[in-house]
Amino acid sequence: MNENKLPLDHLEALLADRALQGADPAEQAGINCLLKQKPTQNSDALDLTAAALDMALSSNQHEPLPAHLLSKLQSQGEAIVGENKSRKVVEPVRMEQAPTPQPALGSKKSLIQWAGWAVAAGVLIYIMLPKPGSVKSHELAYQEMKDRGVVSYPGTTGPKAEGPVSGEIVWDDKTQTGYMKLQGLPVNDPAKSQFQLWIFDDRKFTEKTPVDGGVFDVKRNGEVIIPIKANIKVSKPSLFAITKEQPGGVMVSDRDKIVFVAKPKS
Amino acid sequence: MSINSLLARIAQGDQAAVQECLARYGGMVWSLAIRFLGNTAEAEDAVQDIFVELWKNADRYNSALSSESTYITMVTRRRLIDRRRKLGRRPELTTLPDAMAEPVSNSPVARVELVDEAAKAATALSELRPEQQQVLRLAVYHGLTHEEIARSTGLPLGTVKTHARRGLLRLREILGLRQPALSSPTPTLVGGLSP
Repeated sequence: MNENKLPLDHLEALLADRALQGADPAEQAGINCLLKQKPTQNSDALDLTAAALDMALSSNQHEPLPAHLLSKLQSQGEAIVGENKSRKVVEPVRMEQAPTPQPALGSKKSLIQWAGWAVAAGVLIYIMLPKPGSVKSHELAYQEMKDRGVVSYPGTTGPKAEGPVSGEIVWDDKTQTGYMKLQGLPVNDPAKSQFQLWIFDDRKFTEKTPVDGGVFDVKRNGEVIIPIKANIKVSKPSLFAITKEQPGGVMVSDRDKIVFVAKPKS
Repeated sequence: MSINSLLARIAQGDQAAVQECLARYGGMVWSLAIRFLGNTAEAEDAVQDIFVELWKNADRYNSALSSESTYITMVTRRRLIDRRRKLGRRPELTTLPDAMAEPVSNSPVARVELVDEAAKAATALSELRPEQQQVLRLAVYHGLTHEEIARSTGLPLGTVKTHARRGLLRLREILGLRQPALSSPTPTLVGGLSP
């Protein structure tokens, strides 16, 4: 049979068009929608194919960067790499469970927009990577923070929670650290979904610009305590929210994915 | 991500890797920008945006999926295509379609310097139907839209789309780039949902 008469997979046709000609927001929304139905599809494969072909068709005798541009890029690069160095990888902690490192959490990968809310670039909060054996210390630190009378944010079950979720978030503006103490979040399969923390700051951000708090996993049923540390100052958080997202977090999240919401105790 | 890749080193905060990255890929990115945009000032702006994105998101590169140069070319192409779409224009074409149908680089010396995927792509391209080769060359290297290719070649628009899509899918199969899904969302194409 002539291959040109076989029907083309719609998603692959869209991905091929994108690789060759780009995609406008509406086209990309269609692709995103279809990708959700085909989670095993490598959405980059055709872009990489086009890139490899471009390299094959291009001359290897590239023109050098202009000197002034090279100099500017070197300065920019060194500054960015310095920021990369200061980044810390994040990992959730379960009280009874020894923590294991998780890659790329809180990285630029999960710098997010949420339901059309544009995230302020470069503003991230990191769930801290605990040291081995520090689970107990997290519990103590959480209690100590509560005893100091820092602002606490009692939480309630979000609209998309699979069951009742309870807990509390404590946040210390002075140290820019906090803890999430949660109960009822179901165990997630990191290959299929991860939880994502969002922070709303009354002073710096509006509802349209929540701060991405990174993604985390819940590995067993029961209570979990997860430390949070702000890498960039956050003033007076007005709301914390947790959504369930695809692995690695999302660029845009629906409000209806909220599984937990915490507001300050009035 | 390969431990030895420059992007891996940049993700880990290795300052020396910045200079090496610019030495290795600066000319490639710059040449792509000039080819896509045809305007030095615009190209300079684009190249800065591209490298800043590459460095800030250096941890996104997955050596299991592609070579580093192919990945950097992919990110570069995405940004340049986006920019060109926003500008709503493209460089003036100064050559005829027949002239554009041939790859710029055919010399054996150039071929051996290609990374594995690019070398495979060059070989794979020659296995495609002539009309698919022509359409892909015009689309990938010269950056023509489907409509422009249809006008240039006289082929019906639907036929151009079919050749482009099937040709690219066939190349993907030959290159073995059909890997499991990446864990990260596609960065270029953020479409906000209504609150």
